[in-house]
Amino acid sequence: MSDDAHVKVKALTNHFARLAPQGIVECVNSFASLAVVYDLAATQNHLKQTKSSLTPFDYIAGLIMRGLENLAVIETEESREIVIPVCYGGECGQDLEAVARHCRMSPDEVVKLHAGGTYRMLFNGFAPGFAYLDGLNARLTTPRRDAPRVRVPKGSIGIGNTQTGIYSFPTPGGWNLIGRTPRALFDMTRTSPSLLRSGDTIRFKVISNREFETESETHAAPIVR
Amino acid sequence: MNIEVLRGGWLTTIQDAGRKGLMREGITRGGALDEFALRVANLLVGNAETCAAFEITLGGFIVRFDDAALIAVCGADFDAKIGDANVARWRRIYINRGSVLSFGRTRTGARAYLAIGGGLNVEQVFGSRSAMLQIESDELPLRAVRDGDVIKTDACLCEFVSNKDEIQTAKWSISPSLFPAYGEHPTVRVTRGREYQDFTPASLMKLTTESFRVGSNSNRTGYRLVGSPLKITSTREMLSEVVLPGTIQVPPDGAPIILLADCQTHGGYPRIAHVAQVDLPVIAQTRPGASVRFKEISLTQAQSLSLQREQDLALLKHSISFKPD
Repeated sequence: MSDDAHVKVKALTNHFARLAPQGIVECVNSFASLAVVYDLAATQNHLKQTKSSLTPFDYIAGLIMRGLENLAVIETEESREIVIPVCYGGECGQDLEAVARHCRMSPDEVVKLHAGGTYRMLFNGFAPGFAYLDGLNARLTTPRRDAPRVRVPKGSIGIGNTQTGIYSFPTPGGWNLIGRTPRALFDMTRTSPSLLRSGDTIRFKVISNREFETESETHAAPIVR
Repeated sequence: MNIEVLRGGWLTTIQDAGRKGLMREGITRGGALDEFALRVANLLVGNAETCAAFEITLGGFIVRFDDAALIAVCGADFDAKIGDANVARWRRIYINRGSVLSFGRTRTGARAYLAIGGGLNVEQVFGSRSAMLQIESDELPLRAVRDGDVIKTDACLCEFVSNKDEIQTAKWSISPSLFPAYGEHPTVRVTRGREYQDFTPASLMKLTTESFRVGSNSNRTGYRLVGSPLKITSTREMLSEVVLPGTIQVPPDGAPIILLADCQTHGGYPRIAHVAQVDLPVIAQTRPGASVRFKEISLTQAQSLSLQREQDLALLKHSISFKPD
């Protein structure tokens, strides 16, 4: 994954979000790709009205290609510095030993390398508040698990190949779990529910199991309109 | 009008057509797993197609209506009854004040939709009344429906309903020719996924010739299939990519997962195929233990089927509007 590709993909996503062409329902990016979800019937109707002979697929593909050609100046994002407390290993990080074995180092070294890094938040995705982070030390690369867990503990820090991230909810997940944060990554009572935003600089702080228990925020979720 | 939940059942949630435009925030679509059944149930009671209704999974749900109402039940057959009277599916039904509607044992299918004229009046969250089970909230509509919940509807039908004790069922019904290809052991149509070519020729052959069993830990986020493992030609780790309901991912253990409405927005396992949109209701109605087969179709065919489904529903809406009772 290149920085350049990710910057381009973000710019293209923002371009589409602003343009809001007829019939497009979702514009969502990952590291180096953009997915455009469109309403088939609405797009078909639009094409009928404009007497176009294109198929909906070709029409949308054309919009994307033209968008790529006309990419304007990339906006810089506001960057905040956020420190996330993490309890590593034990029950908080069931896969720490497995990651250590794969990376040919001790669990302590894994923790030192992971907690010592500086990360950039790339994008929200996967689940509300889930953070995809850039900056994992290459020595900690560990392939995803052979089969995903049906339920990952909320707040788990995971390593999925060259990626690292924080599970905001107890969703299914295939990454290796090395630690857990008591912070709520997504809180509906906040005006901006996601704790982390694209462009943020993230650091991790090691905390003990006891501190983890004490700091665990209760997740009350009254309805937010 | 209030609906009192006497028994929440195995898993009953409030669902509409889900959340659109929020994938960038990691907020998944959600919504009725069998969107066809939801839309038809709503049409039968004169609601907008995407109104909020109850999605009842594997029965056990019992509700009491404190006023007369217009209802419809579509999808699975859970032996629905009011007193001794059978509640027929795919029909418009008038019920009286005080009716207790119960859904019992599973006969066919996996999910039934109960629509009430006027829709369910619960708060919208991120623009929709669908549940968000993964958030583990304590409030409706985000959590599962529980014993003792009281849910409002906007129904106001008192003047249309007779004083007879029995429920009144419309004499007409929906033609099964419009239905998705439901079946206890269905064949589901799929198009090729981005990583289709990464799989071995033997595995690609297996995909469309063998049957796969729906595993027991299948749910609204995805159906985990059990069968002959599907393998990729060379091990290669992917960056996380966007996935959608209908995407079929295959982790290294070779067991395919059909992602469904509550799935995450991104995933890093190879995408071998996508279930055609028109057949998502078919998956929604299969139960753990059922066998599923896949049949490959082209993107053009899949889109053509989707457009046909929309036309069918538009025609249905039109026809229903002319029915006097």
